[in-house]
Amino acid sequence: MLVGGSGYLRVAEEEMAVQLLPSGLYASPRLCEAVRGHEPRLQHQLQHGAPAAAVLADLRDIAERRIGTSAREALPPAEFYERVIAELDGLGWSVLLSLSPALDEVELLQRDDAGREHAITMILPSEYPRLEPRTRTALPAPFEISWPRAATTGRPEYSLAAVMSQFKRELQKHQLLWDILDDFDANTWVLEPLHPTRDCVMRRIALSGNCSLQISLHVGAPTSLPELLFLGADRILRPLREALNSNLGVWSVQRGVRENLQDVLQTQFPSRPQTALGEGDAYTTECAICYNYRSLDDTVPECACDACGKPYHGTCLNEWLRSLPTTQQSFNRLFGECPYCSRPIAVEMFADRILG
Amino acid sequence: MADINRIKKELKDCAKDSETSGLEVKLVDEANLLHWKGAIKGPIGTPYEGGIFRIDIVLPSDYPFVPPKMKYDTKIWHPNISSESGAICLDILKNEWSPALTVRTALISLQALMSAPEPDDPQDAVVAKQYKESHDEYCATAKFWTETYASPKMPGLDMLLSMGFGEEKAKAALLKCDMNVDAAMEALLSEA
Repeated sequence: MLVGGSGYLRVAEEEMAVQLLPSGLYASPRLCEAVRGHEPRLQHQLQHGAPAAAVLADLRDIAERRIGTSAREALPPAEFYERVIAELDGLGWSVLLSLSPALDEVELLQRDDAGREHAITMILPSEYPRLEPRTRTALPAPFEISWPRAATTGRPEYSLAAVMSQFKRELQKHQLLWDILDDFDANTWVLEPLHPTRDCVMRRIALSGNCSLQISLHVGAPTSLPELLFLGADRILRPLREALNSNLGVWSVQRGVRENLQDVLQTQFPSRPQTALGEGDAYTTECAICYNYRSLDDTVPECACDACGKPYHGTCLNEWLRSLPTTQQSFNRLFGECPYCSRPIAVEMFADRILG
Repeated sequence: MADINRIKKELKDCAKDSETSGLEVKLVDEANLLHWKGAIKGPIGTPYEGGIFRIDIVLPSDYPFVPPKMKYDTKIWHPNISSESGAICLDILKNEWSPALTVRTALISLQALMSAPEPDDPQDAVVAKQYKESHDEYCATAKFWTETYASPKMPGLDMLLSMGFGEEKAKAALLKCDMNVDAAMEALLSEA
């Protein structure tokens, strides 16, 4: 089944209706019940283009685990609920982003010094606070919690407040990194990721002439030279690579990464166009054959014509060049003509594309 | 599988400048993105001026790697278009197709073909022969066909309609009487 389709999923000898749409996942009430609590993750997978088969397999695994164990998990004692409510009272309910109906999953909001909002999810075991809660965050580095110990017994004391204060301290560590990333988001044309999360340190930004630059910052040293990957026509990128090699000495860790990069590459990064992409737009990044940015197999237009700069998916260019009798093949490369400017273009050969 | 996104974008692009380009496209059925109907205005200064020519457009499942299939729904007298079937002889709709082209550019090429026929690469041999050997006769026939089949309205039709004749009958009578309104009126009256 593809995204956009509907059908039945066999879970523990039982057929359950399910429908996969890009906007979300819709399932029969029984199946919904079985995967409760896992919806955000499944939703996230769908929205980020995970293959439908993988999402469904995941869905079935979760559902079978819940339904298969017919004996329901024992409900936590009443003290558990009292404790959770009391802790939330202490923190203030305004920080609560979401709360599962069984009160075993709490999502809280923490603001850092720059006012950026961060969410932290805590999954509470039914023996809480005797057992340690698990946490889930979107941080660029793993977040280890060191629990305060009780003075008398030396046993760790688990509480939401302890998590929140440590989370706040953890957020401090990444302020510089996020400042730099926010600067890229605000002042350049970020092509990827479309909706960056706080744990993502990669940005792919537009350069002129259909080219782009993928920047991956170092979490530990965000102002140092990031990992760079140039994508696009060699004709435009060669001067940039040469500038990078000769001007590296100019890099100063005292300044922002964007300013440093612009100085080193001796270029200005174009900002996001205010209007929607139109024909003849100098920064079009969609494949000039299929008009999509992401292909069916989730690649970005990684080939470009050296002469006219038109971007192509390798798969699309393959399919087109292979249909022409004039195309030459040498080892695993195809040599033909650019569909737009008819000048020579070469592309690596792909195995037959699976047509959906 | 044809690329749905490309087709949707092409449809949108066609709609953008339909007033200035003299081109129009629409889907036959909203649920089927692969079957379009196009309409192009006859180029000014040609025997096709004043006509609206309807084109049937079918996008094959492996579009844009293969050209769209186009043919004239409106009858037309043209060396490169079959006067019988509406089939078109145009290189870019055959082996000169490239994914750099679109349905819109193909329709513009058809407009250009109507301005500049190529009788040496004919689709309709009879028309091509006439075009080369008795050009005036070709122009007159093409103009007559344009008025007969491609005019948004037939001259005199409004008058006949205002007199209370049915549209189908009035059109048939006009065609039978070579567009002569008086003769058509007489024919209609004698029929009644």
